[in-house]
Amino acid sequence: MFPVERLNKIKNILTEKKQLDVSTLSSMLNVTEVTIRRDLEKLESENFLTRTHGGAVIIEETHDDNSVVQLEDDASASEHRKIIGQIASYFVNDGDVVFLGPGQVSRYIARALKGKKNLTVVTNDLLVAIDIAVHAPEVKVVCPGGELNSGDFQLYGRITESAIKNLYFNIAFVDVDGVSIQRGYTVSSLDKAYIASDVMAVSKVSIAVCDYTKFNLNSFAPLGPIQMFKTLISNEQTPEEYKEYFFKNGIQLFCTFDVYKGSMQQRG
Amino acid sequence: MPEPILELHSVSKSINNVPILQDVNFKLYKGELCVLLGENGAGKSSLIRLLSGIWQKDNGSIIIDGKEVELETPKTAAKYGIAAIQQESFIFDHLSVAENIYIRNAPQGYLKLRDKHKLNASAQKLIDELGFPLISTQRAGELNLAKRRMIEIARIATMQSNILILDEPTTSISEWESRSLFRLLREYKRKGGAILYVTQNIEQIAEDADRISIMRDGNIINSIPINAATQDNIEKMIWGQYYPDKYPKLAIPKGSELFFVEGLSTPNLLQDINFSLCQGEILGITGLVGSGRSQLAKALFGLQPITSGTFYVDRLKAQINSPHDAIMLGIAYVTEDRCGDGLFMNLSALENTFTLEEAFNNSLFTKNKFMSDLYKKYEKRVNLKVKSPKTNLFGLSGGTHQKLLLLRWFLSDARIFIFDEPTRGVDIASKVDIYNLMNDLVRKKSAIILISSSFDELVGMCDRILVLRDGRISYEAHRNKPEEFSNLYRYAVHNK
Repeated sequence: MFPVERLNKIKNILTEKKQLDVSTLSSMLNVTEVTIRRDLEKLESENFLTRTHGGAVIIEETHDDNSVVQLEDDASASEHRKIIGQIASYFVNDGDVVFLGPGQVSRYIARALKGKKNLTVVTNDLLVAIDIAVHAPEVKVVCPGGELNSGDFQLYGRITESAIKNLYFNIAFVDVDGVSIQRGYTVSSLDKAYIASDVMAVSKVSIAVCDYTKFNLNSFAPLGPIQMFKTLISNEQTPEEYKEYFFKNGIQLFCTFDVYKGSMQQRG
Repeated sequence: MPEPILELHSVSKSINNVPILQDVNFKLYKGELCVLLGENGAGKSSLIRLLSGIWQKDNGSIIIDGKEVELETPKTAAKYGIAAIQQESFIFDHLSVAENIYIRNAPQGYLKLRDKHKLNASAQKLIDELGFPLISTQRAGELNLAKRRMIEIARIATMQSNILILDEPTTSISEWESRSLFRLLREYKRKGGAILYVTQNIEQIAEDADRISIMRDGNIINSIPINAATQDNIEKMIWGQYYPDKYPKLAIPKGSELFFVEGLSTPNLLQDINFSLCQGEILGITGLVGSGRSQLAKALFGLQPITSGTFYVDRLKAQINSPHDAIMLGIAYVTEDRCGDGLFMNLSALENTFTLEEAFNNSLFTKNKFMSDLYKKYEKRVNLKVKSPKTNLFGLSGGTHQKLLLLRWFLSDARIFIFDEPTRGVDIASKVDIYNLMNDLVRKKSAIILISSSFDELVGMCDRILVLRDGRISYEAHRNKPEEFSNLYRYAVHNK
């Protein structure tokens, strides 16, 4: 049996029975106990189960009732954005001051920052702020003042802008709503565009993030030309013409490939 | 100014829609030796294949002695006076040394019959003049690489040509025999012949060269007289500026040690190679042709016998005597020769993806269904763009071939990935995909050995780069010391 297939079987069995011991699994799947142990180890590293003496218990999906607003993405969009978040987290070093622009992708970056030391995140998106408080409570969150837009829980206006201008960021992530070679980067509102420009003026590095649906899309407010960001994090479905354009023009494009299944843990 | 004997005007060539030569303009003059320089993959060998009639150009014109010609076959090329020594030797094993030397123009005896004695005698005379350790009656099949190269060199002297094209003719032969070759070339020039000499080792031929032409990205970008050339300006022209910023390099923290190689040597080439490789790391290996880069890859994968050396995987001593051993230890080898060594061109895309899975004994009934489900799932994830799983591989692009090979290994249990020239002959969009797929590997705690001749790519993607020269590690450069990354070429060529 293929290892991937076996892992899936174990997942299915465990989802149904909630807990199991190694010898039962070993006889059900007709492989040695050593193999099962390795599989369980792998599934544990994926946070699917916890190993117990002689067996394993499934980790029940904990629904964060704390989280005021649930993420509304469907499964595949969520998977894509999750990896964008993970890739983004490699750009963040311990001790940094980070700006997370308003938007869905930023909420996934927020989750991926768990475990960073001595980090400060500044955001004008209250949902991002709450996500950090829930998922990465050790990270310090700073919200600028401003006027709250009840539609998207984001802070805008003169107060927000003047607060941001007084700060300095090691890195800023700008969640963009449209990318086009001709029109450059765009966002959904003028307010959002103003804040993004203010942020980029006081940030050492600025990185654009968006999922692949934003290519060849023009949103309402222009942010700047296509060359304004030297780094963009998106998905593998990014249109080929963009991949080619970015590479030829010295712009880094990160794609969220998720193909490698990861190997079994150490041998021996 | 002497007149040009060979002219190229806007010559272009694409293979699988990947442009190999783009708008090449070039002139070769009577009585000159022009050295063609450029990094691997710049298009030098492709240009030579066009000129020797092995490949046909798509566009542009080739003019010899003022007349436009079509070089349809090697025979036509020979008819127009073009003689070539390719990078791979071209020797008939079952013929004798003498017969191989006079493959085109055997000296004829009475009634135009082949006269074996005359043939052997005149071949031996030629060999002795050149000072080569060959015997004219010996069968060519018994000879090693160096001696086969000598046959080819001797052959030059027998051919009636006025344009001579040489592709790295001195690889595998010694300094002494190289000198015989250069003597031959001087004589050839004196008689008014023109020579196009492809090499990466300019120093060896500098004395006899008249002009240097530089190739980059499928184009001849510059030609300068030899006396205007300095090491510095040549290097700059060959490698161009590095633009490593466009590569999607992730700063992944180094994990525990996965692989350690100690005192690795192979017969005749590699000597005392030591390096370690950690989780999350991309280790670059580079060097000129013949430096041993590809042989190192093969040795690590059990394809090349070693004379000494110890491997450690996960800090445990490991035996790698065959590819099977290597695969079981979690080593993957993505070969440079995708169509020849990597893929089974007669099988479908689906079958190619799962050739390794034969190792798992799966019941016959569930297997096919399972494989096609898995294939469907992953084909999207790697942006495969193959019409159906049953599509056979001919006519697919280099990028698609490479992704199929990668998919095969990505679905295996491998953790140590050896990539040999992974982006050569691959379109730009697929290149970007391949670099990002590498990130997928290192994010998930595996490690990569990236063998490449593109310094741009190495500087863009690697955490550390080892430079090989004549089978030894001549330099180790680290990403966090940018000055070390900027002078790789120097260590590939000189031994400082």
